[in-house]
Amino acid sequence: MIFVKGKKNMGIMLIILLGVFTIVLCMVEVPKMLSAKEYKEMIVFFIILSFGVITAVLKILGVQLPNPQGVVIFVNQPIVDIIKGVLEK
Amino acid sequence: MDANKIKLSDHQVFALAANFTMGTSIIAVTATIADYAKQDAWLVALIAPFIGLPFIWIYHSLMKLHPGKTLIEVYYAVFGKFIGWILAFLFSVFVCFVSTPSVTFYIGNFVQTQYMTETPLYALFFIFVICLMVALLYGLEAVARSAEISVVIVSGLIIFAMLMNLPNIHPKNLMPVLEEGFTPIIKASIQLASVLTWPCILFTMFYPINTDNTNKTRNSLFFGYTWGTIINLIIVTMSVLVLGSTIASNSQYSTYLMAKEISLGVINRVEAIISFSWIVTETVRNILYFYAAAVGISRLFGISDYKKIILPLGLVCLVYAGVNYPDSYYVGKYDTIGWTTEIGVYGFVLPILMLIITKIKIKIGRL
Repeated sequence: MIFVKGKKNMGIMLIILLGVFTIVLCMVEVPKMLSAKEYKEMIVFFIILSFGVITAVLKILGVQLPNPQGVVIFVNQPIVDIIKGVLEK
Repeated sequence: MDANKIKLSDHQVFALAANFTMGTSIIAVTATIADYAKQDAWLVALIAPFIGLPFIWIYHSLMKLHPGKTLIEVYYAVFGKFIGWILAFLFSVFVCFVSTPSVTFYIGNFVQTQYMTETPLYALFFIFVICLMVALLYGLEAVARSAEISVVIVSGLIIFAMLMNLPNIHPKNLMPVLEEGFTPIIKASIQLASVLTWPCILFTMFYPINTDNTNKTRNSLFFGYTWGTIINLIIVTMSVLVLGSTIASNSQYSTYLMAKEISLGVINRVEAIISFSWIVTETVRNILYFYAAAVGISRLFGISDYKKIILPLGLVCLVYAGVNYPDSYYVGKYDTIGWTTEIGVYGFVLPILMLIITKIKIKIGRL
């Protein structure tokens, strides 16, 4: 468990809390969107929400998540090398 | 409710720009500049407004040619539907949304190392992310109104703290001027521009579309930016004067360290003032990143109201606050390699390119 080391039941508590948050959020938002017939909004809402829930559960379980900033560094490294080469000539 | 109907006054735009520019510069930026430019850090901070104002003028003239659009639609209009969508997606996810958990990490890390060493980081992130979500559910106008208050308080407190620090300065710390030529200054200027200047591209998410008068509001953007850089100049100069360039570059929070030096009889522990003002302005900056990300993502998928996706995005942001920066070494690595290039492309290369393409398209009558 990443969140609090040394407390065994903390992870289960957090997952239950996450579930409550998700259910309450859906109960508040989904009827509004259904009555307004905003199906596109609902799809995006559920994609982002499920992404958040999955990553949160994985993080609570202590899984190492892929880092978006690593992607940025990997893409930009060659450009930085070129600029550094120009400046340090 | 349509987000386009919100209208910000000129003074609110000024307050947002000043808060945004002050945000990182109060604590985090001094170490980076002093690391490159040593005792010439004040020179770098002095030329920052002269670097920045042309860029804000470029953003202004780009958005003036596309009235009634946010940056996302400008990408569509300039690069076409397909490439424009990809560029806009990368902008709103990798520039705006990835920065939100990173800034949250900055604040949480600072509070943990300086004040609450026993508290787990996620407990601190939780508070700040809730603050972000509540602020954006109230809307941009509420944020702008609170920024109007905070810009006065924060500027006053910082100038007060710096005046208190005047007895501690050592003018010798500035002495060998331009010891290593101009190359370190150029490097440090690029670093400073990546923090202060180029992120101002975010203002184009609300600047022409949510303001009354484009030309008059440009001046308040200018004033806000200049005000932020003046505060930045004061802070950087005082840090080098009080601490010397070596300590200023080695400590992560040099302004905070400098404020600890103040002791004038009954006035002690002034560093709380600095950390208060930093947390306030940095939160405003974080809110603007989050706003840009939410508006960008909702425009990309054709959602009219960004408030619908704030809460799920906040959950993702909370999780990634602890993922983005695994440790402090990574902070420096990302900020120099990843962030500088990324914001350099989106704040420096692309706006100039889009301005040229727009002018050509208008001339041949295709826009």
